[in-house]
Formats: sequence, C-alpha cells, structure tokens
Amino acid sequence: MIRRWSFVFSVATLIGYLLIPLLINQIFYTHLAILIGIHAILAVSVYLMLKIGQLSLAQAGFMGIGAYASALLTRDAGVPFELAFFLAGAIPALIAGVVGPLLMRTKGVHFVLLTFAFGEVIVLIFVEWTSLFGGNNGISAIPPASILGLQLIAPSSFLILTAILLSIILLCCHVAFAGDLGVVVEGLERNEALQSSLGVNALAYRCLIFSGSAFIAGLSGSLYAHYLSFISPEAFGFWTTVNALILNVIGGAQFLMGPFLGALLLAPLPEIFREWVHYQRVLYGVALLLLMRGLPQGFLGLILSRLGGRGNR
Amino acid sequence: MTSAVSQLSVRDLLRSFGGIIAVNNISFDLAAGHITGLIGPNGAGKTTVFNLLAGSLVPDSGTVQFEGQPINGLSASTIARRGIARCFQSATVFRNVTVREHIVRAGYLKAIGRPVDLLRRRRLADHKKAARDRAEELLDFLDLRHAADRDAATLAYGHQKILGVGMALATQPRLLLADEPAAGLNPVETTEMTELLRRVRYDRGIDILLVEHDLRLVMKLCDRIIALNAGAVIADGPPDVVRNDEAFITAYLGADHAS
Amino acid sequence: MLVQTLVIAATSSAYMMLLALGFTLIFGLMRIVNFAHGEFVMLGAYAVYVLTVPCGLNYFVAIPLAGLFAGLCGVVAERLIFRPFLGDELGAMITSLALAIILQGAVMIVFTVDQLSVPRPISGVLHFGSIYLPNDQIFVAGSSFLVVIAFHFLVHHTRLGLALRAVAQDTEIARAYGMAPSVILPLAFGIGCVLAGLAGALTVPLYAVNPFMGEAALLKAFIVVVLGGLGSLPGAMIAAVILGTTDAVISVWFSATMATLVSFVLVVIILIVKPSGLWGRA
Ligand SMILES: Nc1ncnc2c1ncn2[C@@H]1O[C@H](COP(=O)(O)OP(=O)(O)OP(=O)(O)O)[C@@H](O)[C@H]1O
Ligand SMILES: [Mg+2]
Repeated sequence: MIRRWSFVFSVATLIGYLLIPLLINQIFYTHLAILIGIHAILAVSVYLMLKIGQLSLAQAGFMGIGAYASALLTRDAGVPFELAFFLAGAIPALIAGVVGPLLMRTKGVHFVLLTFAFGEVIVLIFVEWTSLFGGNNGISAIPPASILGLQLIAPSSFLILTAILLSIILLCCHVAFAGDLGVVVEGLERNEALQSSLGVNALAYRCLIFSGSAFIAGLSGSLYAHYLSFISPEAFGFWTTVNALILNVIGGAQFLMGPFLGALLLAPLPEIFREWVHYQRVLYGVALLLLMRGLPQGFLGLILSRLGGRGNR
Repeated sequence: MTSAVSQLSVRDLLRSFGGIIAVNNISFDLAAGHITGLIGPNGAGKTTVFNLLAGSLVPDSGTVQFEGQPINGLSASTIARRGIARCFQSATVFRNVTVREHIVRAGYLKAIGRPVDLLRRRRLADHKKAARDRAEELLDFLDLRHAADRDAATLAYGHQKILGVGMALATQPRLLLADEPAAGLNPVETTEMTELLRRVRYDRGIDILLVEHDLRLVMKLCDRIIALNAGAVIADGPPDVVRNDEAFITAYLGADHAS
Repeated sequence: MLVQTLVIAATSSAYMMLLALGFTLIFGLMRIVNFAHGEFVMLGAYAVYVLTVPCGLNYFVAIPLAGLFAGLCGVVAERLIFRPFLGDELGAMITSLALAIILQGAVMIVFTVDQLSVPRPISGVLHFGSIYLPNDQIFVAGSSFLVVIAFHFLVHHTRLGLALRAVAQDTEIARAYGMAPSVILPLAFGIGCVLAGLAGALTVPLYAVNPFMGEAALLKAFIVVVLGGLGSLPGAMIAAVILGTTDAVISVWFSATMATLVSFVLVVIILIVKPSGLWGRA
C-alpha cells in the first residue's frame, strides 16, 4: 500500500517538477527548476553513501572533478558533449575507485574526516594548478550542452535534460536497491561483520557504492558547468557537500525521494530571497537542528507515515 | 578430507592491541569430527582467537591453515566462502524480513560475494533456488518452522540465537565457530541450544569450535577442551583430563571465583 | 633564516595545539566530531574585535574574556543542542554542522561578510645580529604554549582533570569520583571551546577576521587530530608539532598551499599504515 502510494507520489512529483516550470514558461522558474535538479542529483550521491551508513564529505569535490572534466573536454579538447558528460561521471568514479580501498579501510568518524580532507585536497588542486584549472578565476566560456547536434541553449531544453537525467538516476537507484544490491547494502549498514561472515566482500561493495556516488556527483557537476558556462573552485568546497547533506536530512535521508524533496523545498530559497541570504543560513541551521530532534525521518518520513496511517484505516 | 588430516591448524598465532598481548603464540590442531571447547576467564583472548580465525582481525604473526590451505590474512568473506562459518549473538540483520527469508539470504549471499557476481544472473538464480530449498530443511532442523513467517526482529532472544546458528548453517560450512551461544539463555533454552549444537555435529557432520562460559555445557558437549589464560594455552585435552588439570583449576576457576 | 623558520614552526605548532586539543578533548569525551569548532575560533576572534575596537578595551584584557566567551557559548551549546545526541555520532555531527551554519549566519547578520581587523598591539622585531624575530609571533607562540601548559596542568593535576580522564574511560568510574557526567561534559565542552576561542583571540592581530575563517581552523584541527589519533591528547600535541613544523618549513621554502598538500599526504600515508592515527586506540 505505502509502496504503491510512494511510487505514484514520486512519479507525480517528477512530472510536476518538469511540467510546471515549462507551463509557466518564465525563465526564472525554469532556472530554479534546473538548480533544484542539479542539487538533487548531488544530494542523491550523498544519499547513496548514507545508505551504507557512511557520510562522505568529498562529494562536492567529485562534482567539481566532473564539472572541470566536462568543461575542459568540451571547450579545449573538442570532445562532443555526450562523451564528455559520460566522462564527467566516469573520471570521478575511477578516482573514487582508486582511493576508495584506502579511505574505506576506515569507517564512521574517521571516514568522514578523511573524505573531508580529500575534498579539500581536490579544491586545493583546482586552485593551485592554474595552468590547467585556471586557479581561483576558474574556467569560463564553457560551451552549452548539445545532444545529437542539438544545442540546449534555451533553459527549458536544459531543464528537460536535467529532469530526464534526474529521473534516470532515481530509477536506476530504485531498481538497483530493490534487487540483490539492496539486500547487500542493507546488510552492510545494519551488521557488516555478520554480512562478511556470510561471504560478502563488504569492502568491495562499499567501494562500489562510493564509486557510484562519485559517478552521480560528477554528472551533477557536468550539468552545473554547462548550465552556468562558468565554474570556479569555491563552488565545490565543503559547504556544498554539507548543503547536499542538509537536503537529505530535511527531505528524509531514509528515502530515495528524500534528497529530491529536500532540494525542492530548499534549493530555490537562496534565489528567491537574495537579500536575506544571511538570515537564511541561520534559518537553515535552526531548521536542521529542529528536524534532527523532532523529525529525524525528514518531511518525507512525515508524509509517508501519514499515508501509512490512512492505508491502515 | 579424512579425519587423519587436521582440519584446522593454528601455528604460533600472535595478536596484540597496543600494549596488551591478547593472543600470545597459540598453536593447536583440530582434527575433523569433533566439538572442541575453547574456554578461559574473561579477557583470556577467546573472542580474539575467533576473530583471527574468521578473518575479522589480522594476526601480527603466525599461520592458520584450513583443510591444508593457509587462510591467515584472507578477508572475512573469503574465509567464509572457504567453509568456516561464525554465528553471531543477534542475527536479525534485515528490517521487516521474516525468519525464513533471513535463512534464505544467508544461504545465497555468498553467491553475490563480490559486486561482479551481481551480473551472473543465472548462477545467482540457481543459488537462490538451492538456498530456498535448504532454508525449508533448516527450518525443520532448527525447529523454527512455527516462526518461519514472523518478522525476525520479533523473535524471543533464545530463538534469535537459534536463528543465528541457522544462518551460519545456511552457508554450508564445514567448521562452525560459536562464540558464547548460550550466553543470556534460560536453562530451557540452554538445553535446546546444547541439543542443537550436538545435532549440528552428529546429524550434519559439521565440526564446531565453541567458546562458552557455561562449563557444564562445555564439559557435556565437547570431546576436547582447550583452555586459555592471558592469551596462552594452559591446558588441552579431553574434558576429564582438563577438568583435573592443575593449571586450569588455578587459572580458570581461581580467576572466575575472584571476579 | 633557520631561526626565523623555527619561530614560525613554534608559532604554528602552538596554534595547532590550541586548535586540536579542544577538538580532540570533545571527541574523546563525548564522541562528538564538532564541525563547529572553527566557529568557536571565529567567536573568539570576533569577541576580541568587539572588545577592543568598539569598546576600546586593552587587547591583553580582551584575550581571556574572548576565551571565556567562547567557552560559555560552548557550555550552552552542549546543554541545549548536543545533549540528546550523546552516543549518536552521525546525529551529533550533523547537529554540529547546523550549529556551525547558525553561528556563521549570525555573525554575517551582525558584522556583514566584510573583513575586519584589529590593530596590532605588539610591533617591532627582536634582532640578534642578523636574525630578526617579529615580536607579535613570539607573543602568539609564547602565550599559546602557556595556555597548553595550563591545560596540561588542569588535566593531570586537578580533580576536574582526573574526572575528565575518567569520563573518557568510563562514565561509571567518573560517578565514583563524585562528579556526574551531566556536570563534566558541558564543562569539558566549554574547556574545549575556551581553547578554540583563545586560538582565535591570540591570532586576531595576525590574520583578518571574517565569517568564513572557521573553515581553515577546522581543517587544521582535523588533520592534527586525525594524525595524532582521535581523542588522544598526547597524540594531538605531538601531531601538532610534527604538522606545525612541516607546515612552517614548507611554507617558508615553497608555498602555503604546498604545505597544506604535503600535510595531507603525510596524514594519508600514516593513516594507511595505521588507520587509528599515531596514538589512537583501535
Ligand atoms: N579491539 C580491541 N582493542 C583493544 N583491545 C582488545 C580488543 N579486543 C580485545 N582486546 C583485549 O584483548 C584481551 C582479550 O580479549 P577477548 O575479547 O579476546 O577475551 P575473551 O576471552 O573473549 O573474553 P570474554 O570472556 O570476556 O569474552 C582483553 O584484554 C581485551 O581487552
Ligand atoms: Mg569474548
């Protein structure tokens, strides 16, 4: 019952997310929707790690790698967008696959601290390696996305790309977790020692998830770069990951739709209330505190428990 | 695999934590076909020995051979796939999952031990089917059929521990490591557990290495006892011999009374 | 050049010690990774700014007051915010992020995002022959070491310190000393924040003050503590010396970013060999 409801709810939200801005047809709303999508994708990458009970603070760094890779490949190397987009996911995934076995030897707090440091290293490299990454000035004049020769210059067409990508990512995660991978991942989060004693190579699976999450983060970076046509290192720092984490907590980190819902609720705020950015920070913080204490399952948890209650009656 | 070949062979196993030497140059052989008890006072190093055998910890030095193959330094999952299972205190891993499904999953998880295995759908389907069949048989063996469709988390403590043994058995081990299987059980449940372990050994032919504080249970069940104290073996032999061993009495019972 | 490098190394080690000791104390006792630690450094710095510039107080009087202010904020934070998350590492971590955001936002509202600076109370250089040592750096290094020594004394030679160490081992033992964890934990959190606040207060004249200064401080505290072993006080002191010295040497001869990168690499290598850090418990 709850399952069917949440599926209908998810599909409806995604369709509404795409259609409403297209129908209103004002650039500002399309712009908001694109930002929501990009943030949601990054938040999904954080969600994947939370799913195995680990918090990675390097996700924005992976997003940055994807953004720079995609930007440089299309602008300077003449690689077509489709390939560059794929590589924007694959390169961070590969990097995560290489450092994963090292970082993943630790868990919990140590892992958080190591990924924090790793994320900072990535940003430092962007800042310092000026000949390649342009230092603090970043990279500009990034060509727009283009699919099969069709340039996605109009925001509405870019929104369609973002929405399709977000849907594909959510669907892939849903299918993967509904199957055998979900069984392993739940076991990893709940009792890794026992899972290992049943013959599951926990480290390999954790690295797989880490790599997958880096892939998704990289894709969000590519979207970000081609949408804004300008990137600079500070967009990929620690606080970007923290924001993605907040989206999870507020939306409901137990649910695949949680990060998306969190993005829907929060990502537009800084754009709508530009003059109130500082008050917003305080508000974010207070909301986060209250949610952690009063509503640890996030808003989606609240909605689902309501739906569940109605289903039982 | 004849009983003349030692099934598990431990040589000079050493492991320390910081300054504490938890396991100090231990050596022993387990021949196939026994229930062996590993006993000792609190902090003697029993759990550490288990962790070393099962691959949860890496020894500082020393070797472990299982069925003639070295296994020290291998990962826990590899050792599990080699045929050593371990039963845990609480085996209810999955949320909202029945007892039956817990046993089924325990039976096929090793078929997806590595991520690439997820791609081998046919092989996995075969393993799943075999695991289903085995689970039905195990439900009877464990006498858990009455609870088969209940959410495992709602089981009574005693039944959870039996489920723990069942999940270990579902992996089709040849050696079972049981760490305090009777801890926290009432006398009736203890008797059930004792019977179960005996049947594991004699009906299914699976060897057992058992850590247990309940000495009566150990003496009744085991046909060999290895006593540890402060990380070293202080007595080794049949229950009757160890029971009267002087070092054992002073170290184990003395320490036990003192604590 | 060598002596100058040594002074810079000492300053940077002492500063890192201040940052890391508070951070590791809080983790050791409560298992809270306090992501707001850098914001307490910021609070100390802003407190000095407010006390000296608008209020016109003497800088040297402002330093201890700023430390106390940060400590007080820490006690309040522990009681109001962190208490329910005792034993929930991830929850406490997210809570501390929330606190960091709130403090940053609050500072932005009150002081805007602009850089503020405090006039240098100490100027001039000492020179012996061809060696020049800036007085303000010597002051920072000297007073930081004094604070560290005072902290060391507190931990090892007072009843409170005994209780602190007991809580780190076992809350029950601490009760046996007649000190309830409900008193000790906020106190310990406060002490950790005093150290952070002092770190901010002492370095205000050297660096400018802005709402984002916490991140760099947090990063420093992190790598020191990860290297030394989370929760280990001696580990934090030794790691601070190791990293402070490397940092100083490489900053002087190459660049500050290079220094940070090298410290990272150093930490990563050590963690690969020993994941719990140099002095960490497994
Ligand atoms: N992960 C660890 N880190 C540090 N010390 C450890 C660790 N595991 C065990 N020890 C220490 O090693 C020694 C042996 O512990 P172990 O758990 O193996 O004893 P045991 O015989 O299983 O005791 P018990 O009967 O209480 O279960 C103890 O002194 C213990 O404190
Ligand atoms: Mg034990």
